[in-house]
Amino acid sequence: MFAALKAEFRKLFTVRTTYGITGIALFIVVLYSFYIEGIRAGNSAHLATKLASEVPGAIQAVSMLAALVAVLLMTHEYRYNTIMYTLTSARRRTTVLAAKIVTISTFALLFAVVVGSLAPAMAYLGMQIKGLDVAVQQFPWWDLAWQGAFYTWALSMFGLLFAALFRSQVASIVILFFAPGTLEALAGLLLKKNVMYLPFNALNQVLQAGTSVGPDRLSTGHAALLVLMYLVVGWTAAWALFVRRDAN
Amino acid sequence: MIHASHLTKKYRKKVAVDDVSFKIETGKVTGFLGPNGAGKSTTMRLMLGLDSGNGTTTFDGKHLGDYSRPSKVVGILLEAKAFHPTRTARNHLRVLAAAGGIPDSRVDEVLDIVGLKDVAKKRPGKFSLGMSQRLGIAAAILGKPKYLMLDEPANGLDPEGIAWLRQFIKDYASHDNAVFVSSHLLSEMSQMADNLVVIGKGKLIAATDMDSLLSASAHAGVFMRVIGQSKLERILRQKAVTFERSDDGLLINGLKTDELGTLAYEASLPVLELAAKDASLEQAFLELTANSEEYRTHGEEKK
Repeated sequence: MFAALKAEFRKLFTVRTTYGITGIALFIVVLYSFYIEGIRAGNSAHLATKLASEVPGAIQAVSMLAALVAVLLMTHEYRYNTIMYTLTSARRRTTVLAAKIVTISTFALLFAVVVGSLAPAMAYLGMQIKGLDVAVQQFPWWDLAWQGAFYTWALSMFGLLFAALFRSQVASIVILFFAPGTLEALAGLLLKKNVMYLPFNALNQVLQAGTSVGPDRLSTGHAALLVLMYLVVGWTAAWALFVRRDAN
Repeated sequence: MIHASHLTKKYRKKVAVDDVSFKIETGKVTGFLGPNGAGKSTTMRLMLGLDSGNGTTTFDGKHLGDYSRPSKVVGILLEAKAFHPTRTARNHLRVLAAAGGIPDSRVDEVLDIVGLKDVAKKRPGKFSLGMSQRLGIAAAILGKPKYLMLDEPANGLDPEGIAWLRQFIKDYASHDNAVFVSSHLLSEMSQMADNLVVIGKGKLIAATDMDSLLSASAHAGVFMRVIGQSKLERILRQKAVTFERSDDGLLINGLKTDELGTLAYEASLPVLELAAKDASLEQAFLELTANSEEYRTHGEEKK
């Protein structure tokens, strides 16, 4: 397992796309948080939850890019046929899949920590440079940490899951970008209020801390559990296919 | 020894590999021949567990998955361009080294062996086919495996590269290793292979040593030139021995040189030339696979 993990980390960090996509994500966070949420904060600087609100906002804005990195880690193997080396180097295919999940989980958590720390820091810096009076801030560390980390991790796991199921780079990226918005919105026309039980809808509810729970809204804990259930079912199917399918 | 047993692969109704069994001996180069679409690559993938199908393959009696470090048992080159185009050649090999539990120092060694040391930090996306093949060979030998499985490794190599590859494969096998190599370059194969496995339309046609294959060919025989050829022809017809006229002599099938020598002596025919002639690998191959070509060229359509 250690050898497979080491190989997966090397795969992740020896291609330009990982750095390019991460760089774009950080650039967006810095630009948006510093300029829009900091320099141009205006009266919102007086809100006690101003900086805390930067975390879910930034996480939601750029976590899709972490998921894109996850898609590429898996689909590059099939696109460039390196999967044959990967599978013949490991004793079991399950080890390979587990190594990819652990690698992307680690990357997603680091990504969430950096984005979640950078966003309020940049907003604060922007407000300070602009000379705005920043209110005394309430910062629910624990909630922000687990919800932000869970959101990025789960979205990355969905990305990796689509890649494991479809193996095609284009198909995986299309599904990743269309499923949360377009597909679930269309499903919402049929499901009405039950749309909150769909995976990406539930995932979005994980980030909406403080919003009151109601008939069309799950608690963050329940939403996270529901997302986990989708991931467990999806990954069970992906694992069953991964260990049996031809490697091409 | 590699023992492939009853390998079978079906795609819905089409049988790509049909109950193929053979052995690959250590210390030897085993050539893998077959027309396009015969199932060579699929057979190799089945042996490595890359494709799902029936049958088993053991490496020294054990399945590949039973080894803690499979890449130290078998090295593979199934496709020349199997690398990420923007990951440098060195990093590509470092990834494989990590996966196989092989020290990074070995990466520089193999880059030197295949002659890619100078481009180790270049991205292989722009490598020529020949350079890509060399990188693939470097990947295959990274774990110093006992077995090498190479699918068309000479594709795209220049003459110097082909000569280097031939010598490399022979040397590698001679160190108590085994090399299983497919190629359409029959002249190259005839120079390096000790044994041959021939398949056609997914079925095993032959699994034998090179000498047996060539001598069993209808094109193999004994060339004989005598004074009084018409008398010799008459004797051969009486004995129902097949022959054909060739270069002022006869190419005779079914009798050995000593038998023909005795026959000529008894008939008082002075022998000018007597030599056993093997068929070329190309002749033997075409003969074996005459009815096994999946894709066949046709002459120009008549108008």
